[in-house]
Amino acid sequence: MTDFQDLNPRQRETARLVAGMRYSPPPPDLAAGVMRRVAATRRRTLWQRMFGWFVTPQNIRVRPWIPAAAFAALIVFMAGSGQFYWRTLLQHEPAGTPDRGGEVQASLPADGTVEVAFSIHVTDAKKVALIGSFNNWQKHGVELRPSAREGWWTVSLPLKRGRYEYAFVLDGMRVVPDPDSLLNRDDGFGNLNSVIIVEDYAKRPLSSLHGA
Amino acid sequence: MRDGEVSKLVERTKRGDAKAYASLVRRYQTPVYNLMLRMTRCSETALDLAQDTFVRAYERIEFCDAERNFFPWLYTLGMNVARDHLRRQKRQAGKLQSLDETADDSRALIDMDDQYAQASDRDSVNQALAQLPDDMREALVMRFREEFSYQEIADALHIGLSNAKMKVHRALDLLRKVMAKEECS
Repeated sequence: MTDFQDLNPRQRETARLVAGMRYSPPPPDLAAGVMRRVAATRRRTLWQRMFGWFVTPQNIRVRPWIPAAAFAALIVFMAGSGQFYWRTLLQHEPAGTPDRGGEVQASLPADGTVEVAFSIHVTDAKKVALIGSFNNWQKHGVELRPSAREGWWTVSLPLKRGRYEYAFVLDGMRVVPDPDSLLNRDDGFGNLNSVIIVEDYAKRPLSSLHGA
Repeated sequence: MRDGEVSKLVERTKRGDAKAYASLVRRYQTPVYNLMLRMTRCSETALDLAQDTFVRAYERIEFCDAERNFFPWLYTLGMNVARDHLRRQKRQAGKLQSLDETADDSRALIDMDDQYAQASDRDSVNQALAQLPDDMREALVMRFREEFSYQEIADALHIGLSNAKMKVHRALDLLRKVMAKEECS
């Protein structure tokens, strides 16, 4: 029973009139007509009903702020993704970082040089330097830095195409060849130098860097 | 018919029992037909729209929540069917107005069998209700004739709860004014 307590006396009187309003009787064939159409609907398979729903115009009520907010969020996301993509694409990756064990690695050439990384595994030295024909065997050489891999030291140099001999200097005193170099040469003074041949990186596989 | 019995019929309909649905149709055909009669003022159109409402309800019976009453859900579907029809009619009336040959048809629409108007003549409440805007009239019918809760009225009219309460109160005041005017004339 409807509660009339929230109504004033006049409203209550009007409400009672509405409660007592007369209905017109429905046509006698209303229910039968419905059940005939329902029977026809039941003969349709679920897929047919779904298809029928998809192709029938539907009324959709949406509060405008919802699609507007979704669109704004999409724009912000795309702008953010776009920035991330371009930054990643243009980022220069450090060349020659050893990963699995190759002691010399090269990266994409720029202005005719190839970035070549030199690495050596040393645990009993505090300083490691690289000397070679590319820097006229300068005594102090190019200093290597400790790598992320424990015990490894590394440095990258841009080298033009050609053949180079090199060696590592430990603590400014001991000169040792590259233990992983495939090609070495005796310099005539009792020292063994490692050899590296820098060729057209795009055409030759990485392993050829150590070959003659 | 108690709410529990209606829920059982709805559950049986969901399982494919057509006879259960036929019981629901017979139970609610009068209020649904009268809703369409009030909205369209034409008995033939009211019959078609009432049937459309029941068929649509059958096709969407899976979406009738077991916790929710079936009749308010059905009534909401009916309101949507009626609104869609009135919108289509308005668009078509706009197209037809410019054509001379349809002038007679327009007059015919007014003169045709208006069972609702005839009933209104006999019943001052119906007559007064007919003069109210559709949403206010239906808010009153749903609240006091069909005993819907304010939330059910809000759902059927696609408005907020407080809006629904306000609408019912305003509609009562407006109906009272209309009836008072009728008595004077």
